[in-house]
Amino acid sequence: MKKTPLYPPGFSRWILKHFFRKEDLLYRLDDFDEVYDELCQKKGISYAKRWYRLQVIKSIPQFLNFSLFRSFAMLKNYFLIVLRNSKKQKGYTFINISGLAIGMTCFILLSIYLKSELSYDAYHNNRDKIYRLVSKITFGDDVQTLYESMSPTGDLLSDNIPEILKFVRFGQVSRTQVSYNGSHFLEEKIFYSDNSVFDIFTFEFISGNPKTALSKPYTIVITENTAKKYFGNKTPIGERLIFNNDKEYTVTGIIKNVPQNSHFVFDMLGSFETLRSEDKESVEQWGRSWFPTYILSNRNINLKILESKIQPVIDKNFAETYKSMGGTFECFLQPLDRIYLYTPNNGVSRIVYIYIFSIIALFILLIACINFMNLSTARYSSRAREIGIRKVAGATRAKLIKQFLADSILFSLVSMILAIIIVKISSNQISLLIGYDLRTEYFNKFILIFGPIVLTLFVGICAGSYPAFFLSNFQPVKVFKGNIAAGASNHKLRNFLVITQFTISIALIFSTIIIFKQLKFLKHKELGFNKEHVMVLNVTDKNSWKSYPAFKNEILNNINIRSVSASSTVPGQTPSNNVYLPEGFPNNNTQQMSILYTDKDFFKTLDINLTDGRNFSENTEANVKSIIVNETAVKNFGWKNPLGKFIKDDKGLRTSNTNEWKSKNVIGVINDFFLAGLFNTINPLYIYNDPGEFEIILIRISPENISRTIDYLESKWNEIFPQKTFEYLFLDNIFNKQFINEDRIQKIFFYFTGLAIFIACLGLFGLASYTAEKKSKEIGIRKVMGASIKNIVFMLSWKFIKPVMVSALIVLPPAVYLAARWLTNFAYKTQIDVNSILFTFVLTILITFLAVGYQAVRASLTNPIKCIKSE
Amino acid sequence: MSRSEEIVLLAIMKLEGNAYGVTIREELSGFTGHEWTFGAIYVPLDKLTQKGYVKKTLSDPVPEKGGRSKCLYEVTRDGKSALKTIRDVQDRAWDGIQKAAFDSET
Repeated sequence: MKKTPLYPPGFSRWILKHFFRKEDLLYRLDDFDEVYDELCQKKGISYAKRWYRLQVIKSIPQFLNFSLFRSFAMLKNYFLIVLRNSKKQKGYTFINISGLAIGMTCFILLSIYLKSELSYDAYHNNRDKIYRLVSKITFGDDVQTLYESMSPTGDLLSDNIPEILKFVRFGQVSRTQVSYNGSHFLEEKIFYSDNSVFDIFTFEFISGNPKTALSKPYTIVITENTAKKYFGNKTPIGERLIFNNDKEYTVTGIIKNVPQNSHFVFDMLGSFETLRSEDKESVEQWGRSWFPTYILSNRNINLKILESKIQPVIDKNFAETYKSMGGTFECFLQPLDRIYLYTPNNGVSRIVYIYIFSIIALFILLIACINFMNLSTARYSSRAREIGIRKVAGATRAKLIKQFLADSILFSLVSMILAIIIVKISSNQISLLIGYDLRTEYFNKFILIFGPIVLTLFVGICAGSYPAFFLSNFQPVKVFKGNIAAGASNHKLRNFLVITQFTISIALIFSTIIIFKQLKFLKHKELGFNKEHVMVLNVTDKNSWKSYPAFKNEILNNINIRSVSASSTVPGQTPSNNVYLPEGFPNNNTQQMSILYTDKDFFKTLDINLTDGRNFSENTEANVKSIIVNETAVKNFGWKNPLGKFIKDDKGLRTSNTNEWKSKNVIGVINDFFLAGLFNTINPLYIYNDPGEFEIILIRISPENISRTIDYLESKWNEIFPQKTFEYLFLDNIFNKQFINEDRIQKIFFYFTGLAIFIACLGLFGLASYTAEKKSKEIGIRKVMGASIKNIVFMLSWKFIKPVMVSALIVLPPAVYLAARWLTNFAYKTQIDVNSILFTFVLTILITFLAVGYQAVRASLTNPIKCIKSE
Repeated sequence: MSRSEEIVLLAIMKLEGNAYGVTIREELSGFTGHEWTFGAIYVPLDKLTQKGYVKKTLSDPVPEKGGRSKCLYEVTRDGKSALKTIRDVQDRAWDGIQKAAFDSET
């Protein structure tokens, strides 16, 4: 009797289908259907359907368990095979794994670095609404971008623009000696700020009231660490700290330490009201003081819209002043999350280097993967026979692919573990290198585990897919006949891969050479002054300067002290600038000049020459109307006879009306020197003798007996400045500090290049040995025919040198172009000359030769009989 | 060999040539006293096949299945000897234990 077909639940059935292998599928589905039919007849359709669904659900865990069990067994199988093969080819395995491990290390380090760089300032709750004011001042061709604004700007904007809720200004305090209860420390990270800082930025208070902490003058908020340093376990609130033996500040709050990933870090925050109480006009009047100013907007408003509201307010209120002097003033906004990465420092923003390093690290990983692909293919080719047998024995292509993939994933895994170990071990060194403590990086647990796994799989699959798909294509018959055309057909591809590797390496070598040249050029450039053996001491409070003449006279008695001078700034630090009206310029055409306040001994102390006129007098009063300028000033102002020319300035006046400015006269001209460091062109320099502006003592000492001299100075210092700690720096160190960034970059590039070359060489090495093996017969025959070792080495090497030369031709033109672009960031730059290019080329060929040569020599030394006999 | 595998083998032996999914399930449910899911049967079956204790044969086409064959299972020689080994161990283990020991204590 034919049964009417009764349909079992479709969805459950569909699920079932996935659990059975092809061979069992139909029969087992039939089993289910049979019982289903029976139940339909005996107990009705709904019962039967329920039973069916329940069966499927109950069976799922059992099926899963079993498939896992099966896969596990398969995995174990693969694993054993891989292990066995690795042992058989130890050399290749080592090369493969080390190359890949290094590539992964670079990638991991890059991720950590990126994560830290991109996380700066992200901890502030209002981060989307905070902006820094940027002032752009244009006088003719001279454009200056300042990340500061005039003091009353914040008030002006928040009063006139409803979207701007609050503002805060930060005033920097120069090095200050802070004392408490007999202990003195020299502090460099003290800032003043308005109380609104705690409303705008997120600084967690441990004690104290953020609403009022900085509302009164002479109050100060300190960080946890600072509190510990001065007060130990005592409660700091209410205690008084003494600044420069002069002013007392009351501690009104303790905050948690400012996180490392902030664009500026401080230890103490003093109230801005202090500045206002000391010099009201300086804070409240336009044109007097400039401070970095930040604003808080009331919501996530579009930057351009906000800027468009700001400019009219600026124009109405003080842009007139600039217009009357012949310039323009524009105010822009810099969002908080762009400050750290996009503020140019010596011309280059950090973001540039982030891109560069990211690309390089990715390239290195790429090189390592390419290596892996190359070597794997070569390795498998020699296992062609085994593959052939497997295929004949019934291994499907899918199975072979799976095996090869498993193989490469396993390699990838081992490399990853190695990479993690390397990162852990070297994290100390690397933190020093990039100047950021990597160990404090907090990693989301999820990323910590997930990340490496994803990377392992990704690399394993990518790098392994080529050999997997390529090799599983072998046809067994061809293999047995020894006809494996693999060697020839993927020759092109292998060459392509080698070319890619070396292209990257050559680019890196060239970049490193150029960076090295540029830094050397900067560091050895004629500075215009002598920075060796000059000690720099800070005297930060005005009171102590009264004792300076006594100090100077006293120490000059010592034969090791050559010269003593005092000034407002020292070469290597950014000097202040101001606008002046030199003779010959119409009233509204003011000129910008850098300012240096110093005495007559400055030039002697730093070996700067007077090229015209005379020096300042010993007597300060006699110098009231005297100025000294540098040669750039003379050139820029078009003066044929500079002596006696006047320059008008607004010192002591509060007017921007240049008609009212007073003149002083040029009495001398000095040679140009790099006051502002090597990253800026030399500005016209205005030198004036005003002891009220002195902050630094410079002492030239003799090169002998330095430590004795220092001891002597310390004792004299303590005699004459008893309340101040004796702290000094050497001028050449200060000056070299400007290179910190570039030094760091040079080091990083150097290491990157080293790594890239190493990996590429590993690859070459492995390939060369494979080729040597393959060609062993050919080599044997050639030897018998009379080829010398030199011939053979050459023959083998040439195969590899050719692709390398192609790489060089491809990469050098763009590399030269990019290097030239980078150099335009520097005011003074070196040339990209033929030597550099040639050197790169030769170096690369040399490296190739070495990598390949070893194999070539070894191959050529083997007994030819052995090779031929192996047939 | 696990217990469920052993029981499945025994069920197959009992069914003497008519052992396929449905019948094995009925037989098992019969002498164990609880319902077996198909999953609980297929898994041991596959394992037994892998170990070589059971082999699959296709029967002749059968009308109830719309002309398809049935997949019948048989215990192999290896399977039978494995069963025998277990049985021997079983006997030796139970040897000497009186049935009375299982009666309730007084």
